Amino acid sequence: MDQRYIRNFSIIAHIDHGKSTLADRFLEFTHTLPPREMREQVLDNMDLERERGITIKAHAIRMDYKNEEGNEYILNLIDTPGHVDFTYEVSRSLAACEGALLVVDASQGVEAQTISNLFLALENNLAIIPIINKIDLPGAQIDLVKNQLKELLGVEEQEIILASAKQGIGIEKILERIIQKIPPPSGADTNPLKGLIFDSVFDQYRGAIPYIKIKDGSLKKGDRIKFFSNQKEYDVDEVGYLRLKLVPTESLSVGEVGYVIANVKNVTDTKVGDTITSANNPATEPLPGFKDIKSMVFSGFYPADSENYAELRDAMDKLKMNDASLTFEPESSNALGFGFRCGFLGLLHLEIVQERLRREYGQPIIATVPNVEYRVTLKDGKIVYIENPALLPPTDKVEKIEEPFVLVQIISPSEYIGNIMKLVMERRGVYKTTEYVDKTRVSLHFDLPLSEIIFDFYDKLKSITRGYASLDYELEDFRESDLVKLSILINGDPVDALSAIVHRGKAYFWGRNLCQKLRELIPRQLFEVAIQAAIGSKVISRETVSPLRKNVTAKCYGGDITRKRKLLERQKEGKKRMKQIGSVEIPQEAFLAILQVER
Amino acid sequence: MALGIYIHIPFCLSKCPYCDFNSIVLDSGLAEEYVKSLLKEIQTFSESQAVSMVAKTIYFGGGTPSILKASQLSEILETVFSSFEVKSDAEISLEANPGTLAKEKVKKLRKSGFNRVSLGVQSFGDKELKILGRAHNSKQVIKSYKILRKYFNNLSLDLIFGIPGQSLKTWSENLNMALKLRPEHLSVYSLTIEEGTPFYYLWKQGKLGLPDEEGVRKMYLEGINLLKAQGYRQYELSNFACKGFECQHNLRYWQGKEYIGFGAGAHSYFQGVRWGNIRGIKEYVELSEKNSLLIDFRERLTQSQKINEFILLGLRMTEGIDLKKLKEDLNFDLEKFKKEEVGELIKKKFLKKEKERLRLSRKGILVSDSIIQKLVP
Repeated sequence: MDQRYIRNFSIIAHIDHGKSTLADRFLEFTHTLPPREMREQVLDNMDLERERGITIKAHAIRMDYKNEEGNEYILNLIDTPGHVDFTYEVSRSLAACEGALLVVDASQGVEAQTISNLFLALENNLAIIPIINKIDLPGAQIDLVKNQLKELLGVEEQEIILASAKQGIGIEKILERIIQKIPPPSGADTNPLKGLIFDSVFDQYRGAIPYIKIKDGSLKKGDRIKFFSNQKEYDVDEVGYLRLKLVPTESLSVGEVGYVIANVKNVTDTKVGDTITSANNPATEPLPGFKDIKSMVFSGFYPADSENYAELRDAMDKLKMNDASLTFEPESSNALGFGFRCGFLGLLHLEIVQERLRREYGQPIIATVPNVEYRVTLKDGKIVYIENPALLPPTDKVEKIEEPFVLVQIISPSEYIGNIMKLVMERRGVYKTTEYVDKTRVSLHFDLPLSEIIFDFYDKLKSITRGYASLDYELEDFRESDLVKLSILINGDPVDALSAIVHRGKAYFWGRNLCQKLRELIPRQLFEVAIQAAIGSKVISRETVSPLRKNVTAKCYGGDITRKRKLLERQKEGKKRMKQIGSVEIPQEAFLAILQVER
Repeated sequence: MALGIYIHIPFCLSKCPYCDFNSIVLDSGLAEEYVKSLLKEIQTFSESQAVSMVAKTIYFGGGTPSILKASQLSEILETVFSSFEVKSDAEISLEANPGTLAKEKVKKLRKSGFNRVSLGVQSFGDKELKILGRAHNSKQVIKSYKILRKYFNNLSLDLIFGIPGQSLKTWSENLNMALKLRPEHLSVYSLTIEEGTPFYYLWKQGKLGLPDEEGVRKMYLEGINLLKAQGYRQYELSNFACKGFECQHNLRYWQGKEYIGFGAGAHSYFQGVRWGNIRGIKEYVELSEKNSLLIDFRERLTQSQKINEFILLGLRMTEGIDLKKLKEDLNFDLEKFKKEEVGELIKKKFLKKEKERLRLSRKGILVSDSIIQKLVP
């Protein structure tokens, strides 16, 4: 394929700004899919994606387009995940493109995440085509959004395309502009192979299948390839391009986007951002930008019914086949039994994994309070990384504890600056800068501990700005903080699954709220149950569940013993789902509800 | 083979708002057909059995069995006599409600073979009786009791505590009134709110005004104390008796002995199988007329179900459970299998162990449901 007739592009848009609908229109206009295969948001094929209206995995689809001049082009749309948890994946998808459509909702304007993704695109030297979508909506403020885009991109008004993906307005114009403005891929067929992996999927018969963009060289069946990051070599079984299904071709030439099947066992070997090269004629350097994925948020996943540990492990193994960013290793808890310490890209990623385990594998789980990774320097100078608060070394051995800080960008109408400042200060944030995006909107920058934003920060932000603010963040560094381990004790026994590392200034508040919540959730038992929150050996809060005083069924229903026995068996079944700490029975809800405790 | 016989009479003068037993307001036409069906069921069962069976106890429960005519009740009893072997010392009980017991009727009942009456008094306070929706008043209670006393030397009274609006004081008055009558046996029940009853809906709406848990607990303890002081032995969670007057029929249920129930919704336990008859009264009669099977469900108890029942029922009795019997008959070593639980419950004085028996302490009686849950496998 002559690379002059290839265009690779992505769509940058905030959630709900119409990215998936626009993609649907392209597919229709180019007759890429037969009408019977079309449905709304056709690229978001995971139920979860369709429900939540977000893209979780990257997708790519190849379209054939004959332009006004009658030339045949190949357009590869590389759809990116749409959440701050997946920033790295987004950057690699963008690196596979030469251009991007910047889609902004005519009534909502530019949002923080759009800007951060735009910057990712600019870093990758992408040509940007600005588009205002949903111009048909009554609330459309076309002029305002035009000005935002002009300021943001330094473009002329006529460069901005007005569209309504829903109504099919502006679609052809966008396609023409893609041909005109986005450059064809660079690189040369004659160079050694460099293929950028921007995603991979797992097929149970064919193994891990990386999706790649050929940056240099070409690839065909029978070639021997090598992955740069781990130097592993494979023989190529099949190459092809992506059109919802995999479509085999003879070869992939420079500039093309497609897939490679080479019997790779595991998606952990097809890392996003890695470079595939030829084993016999390798490139000297890999493509820039590869990072090993780092987990940002950790949580213990335990089977709801502890007898299901083996099933959960199988499910996690299978899920991991498709999700290289999920990490996990076995751990055990005195309260929850055997489970896994899992690492995630963020809280959304955690929720998605939890939800997929339940839906796709029928494995309900109990997740412990999510936490970040702490860097702990011991008195003897040794440095350890702690992913499970229960494993924090005793205070007398600890020199200092450092926690990850992130650079946060919040874009909001300027009237909410006060509210945002207040929220950020409550979360131990440090103000950095303010810039005006346009006359009414500001972009605020802060340093914040990651641990303070992984919980309900985004929801809070939304509520104090009437839903107008948007958020983006990236990891900066580790900084020392006055952190303590808050333990929860039930009748004197520490419950590891409920312990957390918190800032000393907040330990009392959090401890008290947690104790109160637990008191509501732990049913009365035969004996008194003391719930305590403690820092080290110092108890900072205490609640008591008074003992059951009377629990006796007076009447035994004549000869109907069956009814009574069945009731007992049901109660017993319910008890099995309880977790045992000493002689105290704790319902699963107690472990789940602490996620909702005010911090 | 020894048996208990239960006869269900599902008719009442009126339906009380707390009751979820299988009963309806009396329809004398239906009652007549029902009695016919009962007779048929009793005869059919006994004819189907190869060996002759000895009825150790016979119990007419309801509903309000005493609402039937004396002739109907004695006809049923006669049929039992002719279908089973009944020794002269068999306990033959009739549940009765005040206001359904004219002197002539009581005399006839005694003559036809009944030797024990359990009177559904529930309360001696007219206000409480009204709240409970009972069809009688306290005057009728005394009158009925006096008539019964002329012919019977084994009488039991049922009392309910935890009635909406009841105080510890009015409850004590009830107990004292009952004790004055010197019945041989007393059943003392805590009012339970059963799903689907009018009380349940009131309770859901917060309109029932039940005494609080602590209040009900005190009433229960008051009952245990007062009755004990007056020479009644508590032999089951809700049952108290003068020596030798324990209800033999009910004991069969708790001791896992066999019994056959006849009538709509009646339950049986026989040769390791539990079954229940169809509950609907009209359906019962119709099926009987068609000579169809009257059974609604049957279950052959598994080993673990037997163990559950052994513990569940055994601990209701103050004599508790025989650990050796549990080990030998059902191959379940409770002390070994539930070592920690048993140990802790004994240590915390919820359970007592004497020789090879494990029983609830007084403290344990109050929370027996929770303890039983901890002990079943």
